[in-house]
Amino acid sequence: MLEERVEQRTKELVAPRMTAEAANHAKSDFLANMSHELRTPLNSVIGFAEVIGKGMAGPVTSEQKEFLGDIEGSGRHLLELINDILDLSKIEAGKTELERSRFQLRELLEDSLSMFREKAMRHGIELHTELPADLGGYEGDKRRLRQVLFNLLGNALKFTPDHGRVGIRAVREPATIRITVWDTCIGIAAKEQHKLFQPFQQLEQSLTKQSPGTGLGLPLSRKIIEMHGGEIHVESSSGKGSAFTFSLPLTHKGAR
Amino acid sequence: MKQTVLVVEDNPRNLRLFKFILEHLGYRVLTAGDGQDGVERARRELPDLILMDIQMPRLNGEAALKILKKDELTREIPVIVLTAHAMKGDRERLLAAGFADYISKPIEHAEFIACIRAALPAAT
Repeated sequence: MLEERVEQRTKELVAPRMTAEAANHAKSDFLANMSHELRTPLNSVIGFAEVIGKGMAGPVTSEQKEFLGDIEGSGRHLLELINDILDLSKIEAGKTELERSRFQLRELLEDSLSMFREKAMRHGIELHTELPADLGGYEGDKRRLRQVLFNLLGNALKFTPDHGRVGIRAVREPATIRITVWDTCIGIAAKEQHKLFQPFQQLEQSLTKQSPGTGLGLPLSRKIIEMHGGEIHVESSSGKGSAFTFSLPLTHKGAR
Repeated sequence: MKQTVLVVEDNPRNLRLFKFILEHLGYRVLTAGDGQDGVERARRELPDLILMDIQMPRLNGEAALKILKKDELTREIPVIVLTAHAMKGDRERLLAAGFADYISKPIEHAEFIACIRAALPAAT
């Protein structure tokens, strides 16, 4: 009798999990198909805009060239969205595993920042670094962490007015490394801050002087940091800029 | 003499784009709308290079590649895969299957041209 009840109860507990796994599987198949189906027409949208814009199909006026650039730019923006949605969905479905390797964090931080040097110069933005020489090695997914730094630095550069400052700071504590990307943007009101890490919750787009992002960079970054066992948060107040800090525990052994 | 490129692609708009770019580069371009047509065309015309989509009706790109590689006539023709399957691992899987190179859609114009030229070293 008792055995039967245990068996029955086990079934009740296992069944919903199986359903959830099947649903996750169906979801990731759907996403792979969607990616393929969206990329196929984008190929001719972007491709034809590009060849016409290059004058390969005959002469174009400068205004036409500009409009064609808009078609191509919007096409590429859609492509970025697709990539980010897929990335986020795969992480949420538990389909992504970190590819861990040991590397020098300092190098990664410096490399990432140097990718933005030209853009900073164009806007007269000063770049600051505070990186201790003995930051040491870290074992984590370098490509993914670079993605996080690109998102944070990209946002900082995008939202900071010309002639402002953007910086990166790292601190090594006994059990954790803390990395902060700060800027002198106009600040994010306290009641808006919780929205930042939710998908598609871009704050007022009028603040940006360039093309909007996908609205998925920060949610994606948060997932990546959580996979490393760390946390990410923002500190900001109106008129005082913003600072995004994430932690990377040194002892974490890959939950998920 | 012009080198010949066979493009095997089921989406007519993409086919037209690739044909346009390749003709602009000075190649003679042949087309086929699915893997089955592609294999037959390749056997008949023996092109210098084949660009092959993956997801196509009747015969998909991977199955078409297998047939081409088994046939003495077509075995040596380089086949570049041109696909919207751009998820992690797709590239590795397709290169391991025997494709000479991998181009994802949407194409990057410069990368596309570089791939074609690299696969046709005799081009002048």
